Amino acid sequence: MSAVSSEIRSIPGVTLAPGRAAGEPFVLREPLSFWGGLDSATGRIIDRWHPQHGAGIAGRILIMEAGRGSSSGSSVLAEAIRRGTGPAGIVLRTRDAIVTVGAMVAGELYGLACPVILAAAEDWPAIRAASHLTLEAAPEGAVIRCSGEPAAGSPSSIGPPSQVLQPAASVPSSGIGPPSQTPQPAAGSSSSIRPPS
Amino acid sequence: MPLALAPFDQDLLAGAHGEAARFCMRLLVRFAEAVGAERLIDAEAAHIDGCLYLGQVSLDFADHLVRLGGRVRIPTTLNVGSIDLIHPELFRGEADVGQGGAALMRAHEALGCLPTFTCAPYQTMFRPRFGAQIAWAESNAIVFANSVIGARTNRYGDFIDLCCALTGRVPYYGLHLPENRRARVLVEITGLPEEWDEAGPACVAVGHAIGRRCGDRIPAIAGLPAGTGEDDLKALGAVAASAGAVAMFHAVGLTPEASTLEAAFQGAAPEETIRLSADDLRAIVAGLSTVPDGTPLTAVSLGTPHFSLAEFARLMPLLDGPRPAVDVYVNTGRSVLAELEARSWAERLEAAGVTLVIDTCTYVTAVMRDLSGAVMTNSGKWAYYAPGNIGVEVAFGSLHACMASARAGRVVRTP
Repeated sequence: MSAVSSEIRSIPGVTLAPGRAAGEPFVLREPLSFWGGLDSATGRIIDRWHPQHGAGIAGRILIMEAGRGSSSGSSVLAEAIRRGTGPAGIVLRTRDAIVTVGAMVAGELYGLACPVILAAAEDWPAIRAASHLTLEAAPEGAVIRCSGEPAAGSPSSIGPPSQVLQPAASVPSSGIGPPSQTPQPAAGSSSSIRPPS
Repeated sequence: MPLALAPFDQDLLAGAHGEAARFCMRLLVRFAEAVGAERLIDAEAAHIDGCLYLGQVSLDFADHLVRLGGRVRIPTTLNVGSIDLIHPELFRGEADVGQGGAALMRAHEALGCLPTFTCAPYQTMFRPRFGAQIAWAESNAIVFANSVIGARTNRYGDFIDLCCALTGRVPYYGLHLPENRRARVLVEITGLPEEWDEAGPACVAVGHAIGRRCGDRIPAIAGLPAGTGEDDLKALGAVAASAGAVAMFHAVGLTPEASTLEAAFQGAAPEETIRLSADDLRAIVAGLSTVPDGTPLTAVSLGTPHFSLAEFARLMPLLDGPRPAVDVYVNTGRSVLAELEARSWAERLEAAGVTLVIDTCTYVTAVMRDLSGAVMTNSGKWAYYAPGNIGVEVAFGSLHACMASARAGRVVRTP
């Protein structure tokens, strides 16, 4: 099956964290531990052993087969979402509690939705091949809309990447307000546990 | 099967036990659904990993629960924080991390958590009993509880650990169920390097191999050195949980659910057998060092996970002789510090040039004075994380080699 630019395929999924998001996918070639692997100040991959070391995931739809590493990853993901450096949404192939909790906490505390959807193995090739994804994750079920390869030279013809459509309808109103900081610039900043040089 | 809530769970969700417990229960229910649990059960105890400052979100979450009047419902211990509250002058990091870190530790105390501030809660009076259903975070503590004690926990982490503590409930899935605790992979040690006179390095090498090759599958290890003790199993589990997602291992004849190989596998056959030779173990240990022997050192760091009293008992005789040429740090918890003080060991350690780091750890925060060169450690976990976390080169060696190197000021393998 070869996707064409006009084709939009809807794939069902399971909602792990609710919300709606759209953006350009970022396919992780290996599992990533957010703790020690993602700099929440910049949204860049800082695990020096990871094949995508140095790449930025801010505003992208993160496609990850599985989670990895320390459970402190929940905090790093939530902090990245708070700072606006996190992914717009996440699609998993296996359930991952660390990712799910990080996204849920950002929703509960700040009202910032980063939907997390579990997809079936048979849909994985289509999700990986898509050039643009829209995630709609409601408590009763989720849909992933995949757009195929865009026409050459018009990569943004199907909409801006990383646009969060709207906050999740089910995010309760008990949040403690909007994030207190805007995204920080990348220059020289690093994870909070790194001492000054 | 969907999640079935008990009447008590429904009371929690309805706010009958306060707004903080309600907030936590809402998160816990979504978590339980995400992991596919069918019900929740009572937890006997919790261990919280969330008091390490990882950004504003850490403090926002704890403060939110404090404002809602939150209080833990079960005995709840705390993992390391970002600063040593006993020796705050040791902190050399950014002011916002120091202030946020201290505020975060205090917020957890305000929720009724016990100020243990240790990654080794199993070395305190709150060590759980065999078979206890608990909600523990911190990867090394999880492995130790499951493997060495036979208590039952999954790999809980930030936020959810506190949700379990404030509700007293834990999702019944994974390693809470006896049938999920059986070994899947057989790890056979076919030979040990005869030049190694401590069990520590062999256990670190085996732990590293397990982390790399077993993923989250439970291994049963046969053939560990005869002198393998609890602290060696602690080191094994800690590095296994750093290099992989290991939550439990069996050591045949040593750990409580593995009196025999058959018991470890619950009668089933291994799905894979991994054989480790003496040369394999040597190669793994060599790979933990990023610098060659002879490299000048800036420091030695011990106690990741936190040094036990038994480990201090092994260290004390090694202090006799000339003062170390480089800084020596030992991370430990308050309960062990009290024992050191009662024995006058703390004074002797300080007189011998050892800096005791309490409540935190040298690889998660800024306490080491000089990060410009190589640091030597006997911890596989420290060797795994420190180069990325604090940007140092690392040399791995036994406790004896670490102390000999501290005196020599460079990496040596024999005194």
